[in-house]
Amino acid sequence: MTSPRPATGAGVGLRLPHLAEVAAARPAVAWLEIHPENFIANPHAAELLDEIAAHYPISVHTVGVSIGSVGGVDREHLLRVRALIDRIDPFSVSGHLAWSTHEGDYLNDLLPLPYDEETLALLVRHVDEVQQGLGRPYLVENPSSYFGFGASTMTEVEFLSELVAKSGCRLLCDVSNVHVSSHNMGYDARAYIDGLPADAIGELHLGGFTVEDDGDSGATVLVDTHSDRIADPAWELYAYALGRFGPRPTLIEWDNELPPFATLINEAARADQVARGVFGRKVRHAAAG
Amino acid sequence: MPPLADTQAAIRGAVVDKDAAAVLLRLAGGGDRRYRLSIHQRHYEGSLVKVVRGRFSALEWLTGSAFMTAAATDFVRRHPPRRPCLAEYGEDFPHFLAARAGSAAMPWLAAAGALEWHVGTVSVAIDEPALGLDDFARSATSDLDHIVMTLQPGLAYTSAEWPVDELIRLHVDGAAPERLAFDPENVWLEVRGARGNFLINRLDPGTHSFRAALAEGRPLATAIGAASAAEATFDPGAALARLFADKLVTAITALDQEAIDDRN
Repeated sequence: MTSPRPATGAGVGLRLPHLAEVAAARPAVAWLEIHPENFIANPHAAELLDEIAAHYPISVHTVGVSIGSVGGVDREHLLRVRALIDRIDPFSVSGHLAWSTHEGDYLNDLLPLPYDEETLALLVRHVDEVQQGLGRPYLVENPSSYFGFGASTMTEVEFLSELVAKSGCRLLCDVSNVHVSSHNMGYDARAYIDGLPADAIGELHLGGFTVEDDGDSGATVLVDTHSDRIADPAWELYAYALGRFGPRPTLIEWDNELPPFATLINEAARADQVARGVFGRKVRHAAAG
Repeated sequence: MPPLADTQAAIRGAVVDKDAAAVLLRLAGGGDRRYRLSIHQRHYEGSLVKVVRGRFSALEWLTGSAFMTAAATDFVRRHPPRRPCLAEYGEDFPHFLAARAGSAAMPWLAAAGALEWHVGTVSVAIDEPALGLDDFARSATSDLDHIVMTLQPGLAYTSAEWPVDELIRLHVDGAAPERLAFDPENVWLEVRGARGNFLINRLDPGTHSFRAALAEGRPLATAIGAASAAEATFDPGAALARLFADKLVTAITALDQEAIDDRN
């Protein structure tokens, strides 16, 4: 197998309902992102993915690796992910600053962590284990947050920066998560972007969210549902992030209330348009770093 | 218990068991913390209930969405997934559903659910190149005690005391009659699928035992013994010929005695 082709511009998430369509029609899109957990136990889907991966750069975004669990990383799952990525040779492999397993139970969510020295030491160990296990660099994504912990001794940006410094991992900056979390937690989204180590950013994400009443508080909470178009404030923050980080492969995430694939392509075209607005027409695309 | 382990146990209790008391004291920032926590609770429940209902759409068609949703909600709280691949989640649900109050009038539920689980599993398999009877003739140099056959990956064998295959067919065809006479009947079923398609075949008890034993990796002689015990008139030669004619065999292996002992 040849070395992975670098991704350029904006890509879209490839979900199972679109799989046959993409395999048959091969629509024009710069690159595709997949969740390996959708393919590992589905040989037919994996077969179609193998065909698709011959024609598109692929980013693998894990949702079940759970680097934040005190119970450790699921090595059996890691082996299954490794087998998949060895076949399709993605340009990027990533996961979340979160945990999702507890004493063998998989909780199917990206659950939050306190940001302190104990968590940092755990994450450094687990990122190393994952990078060793996968044989590739692992990008860690900033979460969408709804609450923090009294035990935290550092901000999320400080924590991620320390994680990069101590583990050698890189980061995936979910711009929409920054917008969602800044609203929910009351911080400055641009200051958050400014605080991240720009050289470590390997990929950007954009996804839709929903607005809910925040219980009885009279305020609103943004929920990272990946079920809608990218909202204008997230587009504005994306332009700011591009200015800060430089060109980066950018994913349009849409996982629920899935629209026609053409809608995803239109959102990707808008991301490219925003990038052209930031960098000018000459710098149209960026290779994965 | 270290603080992080304690925190994760408390969050697990809040998300799965809806017992938020232990975790609320640990939270900081944000607005209405109980509501914020409920976002994770809702996601856990909603996403997994959707998985279970999607996997058992025939059971939902048979029992009604309210009954099914209540059962699935209870199931995901009592039996969280054990693996991150959700296609592997829910195999135990039919028995869970059948044991619930209100299911007693539907004694076929567990069998129908088990069949639907098999249908979902084999439908995403991939067929492999099949061997012919000539291949068997060429490779069958050792005695039958030492021959193991590998069958197509998209195969499952199940039996039931109700003709639950009829229920699945009615669901798939979308042609339910106004009333259905549904009486107990022993059925021995082979579910075969690949690349999004499936078939449910009724087998005689001997052929079912024979093929099920082979699918479990039993030696050929053991499979023939099981089939003969299930049906005195079982004809091994004819069964082998049908097995190859149906393109079910993908490999034939002669094993040594130690490996055979492990499989018996």
